[in-house]
Amino acid sequence: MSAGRWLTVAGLLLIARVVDVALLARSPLAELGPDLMLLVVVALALAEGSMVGAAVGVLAGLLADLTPPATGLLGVSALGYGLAGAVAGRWSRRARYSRLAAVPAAAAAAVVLVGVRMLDAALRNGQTSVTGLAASVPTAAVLALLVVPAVLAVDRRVGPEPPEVLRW
Amino acid sequence: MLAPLLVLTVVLLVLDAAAGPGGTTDRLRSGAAAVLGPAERGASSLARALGDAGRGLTGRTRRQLDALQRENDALRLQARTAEDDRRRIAELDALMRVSGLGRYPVVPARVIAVAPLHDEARRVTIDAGSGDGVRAGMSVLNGDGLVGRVLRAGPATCDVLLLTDPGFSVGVRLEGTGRIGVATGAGSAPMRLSLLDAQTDVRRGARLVTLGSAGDRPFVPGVPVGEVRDVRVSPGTLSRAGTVKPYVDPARLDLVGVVVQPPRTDPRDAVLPPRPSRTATPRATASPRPTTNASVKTTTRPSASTEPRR
Repeated sequence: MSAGRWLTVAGLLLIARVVDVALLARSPLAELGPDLMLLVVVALALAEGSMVGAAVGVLAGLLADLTPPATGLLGVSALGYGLAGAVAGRWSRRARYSRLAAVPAAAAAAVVLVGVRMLDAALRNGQTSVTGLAASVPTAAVLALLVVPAVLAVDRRVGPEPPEVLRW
Repeated sequence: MLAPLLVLTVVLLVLDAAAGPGGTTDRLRSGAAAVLGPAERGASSLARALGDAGRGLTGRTRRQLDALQRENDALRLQARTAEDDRRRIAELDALMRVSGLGRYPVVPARVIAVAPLHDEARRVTIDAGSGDGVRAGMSVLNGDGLVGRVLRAGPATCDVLLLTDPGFSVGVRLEGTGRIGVATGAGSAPMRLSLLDAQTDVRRGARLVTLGSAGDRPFVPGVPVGEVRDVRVSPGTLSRAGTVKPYVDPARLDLVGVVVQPPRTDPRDAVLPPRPSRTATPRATASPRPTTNASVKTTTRPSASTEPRR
């Protein structure tokens, strides 16, 4: 991917994170665990495959660990989002033919991220709540239908258009 | 492309796990806070302005509303601390002539960002930072009682560990009897309480206030924490366990105050209000200001940063 495209991705991640913590986490939707940044990662993973998905995920996770209020060890979210991006990339071939591929990809990525977070919480606090985390999986799947096409539309305007993205 | 990123991540993980406060990774975090804090602040105030406009509030009425809200908060906190104040006046403070919370300057601030629930940590970012005199380890409170403590302070924002975070503990005192214990956060579950004296007779609804820490950091004494929900009697243990319902609802936090400590040697009388008269309650956390102007000024943050609240 070109440098301009990476910059766009970084900008999108930044906006998504700020919206997540400053708006969504304070809204009544917070209980559902919405995570726009994960969906940006999923979108890039669907467009470019697992490798790029994982790289974008690591970047996203580092950003998440650094945005105030920063929680946990620096790098844990990076591993979580990186894994999530790699997993979402497995749906990239299917994404060429169907927009709906974003749904299982986002759900799988959310499941991976929930797993990493549960592990992290269990190690840090000695306890973890499955119920609070589980809500983020269906939320990610539903939001993916809206957010992933929007992210790809922005990405397409910047980057040299790869043929597989054109079918979206 | 992926390998260097992974190596970087692992290096950061190890660095962060090994480093203490003020290490390399903390400097990275404060750098990020310097850039991202204002962005969050902007997003948050934009959303608030839009929401206000939707409800027909203009900037002027909003400021008046904030002023009234703060005044109301102060009165409620005053009412809640009154009982404990009386006990302490009788017991100890008559001797020591120390005014507790009363004369600590409080920096008002607003919540601008919240850690998403799935982060498994109850933390918020508020829009007061080291520029306003906020340092790590200061108490944060609002009209209902204790909110948490400052975890780290950026230039214009700071992160607050809420009292519901599993990593949060505070020494508490039972109002009235003065028995002490420890309250610990437990996420969305009610806080856990362990009373150091197993013989303590506690009833449901007993109120807890902070015990205070050495040097008043991280906790100043006498701030309401919550009410005892239940106490389990477990024979053979050295302490008595129970649960606490905190007064503060973390889900609806908005206006908070950071207790900025007076320096130990120099009380900086210049910024302190005149010593309250005998008839006034000297150690109430904050009393309403008689003039509207002053109240309004308290809510506009930058100018109020050094303004003490009685």
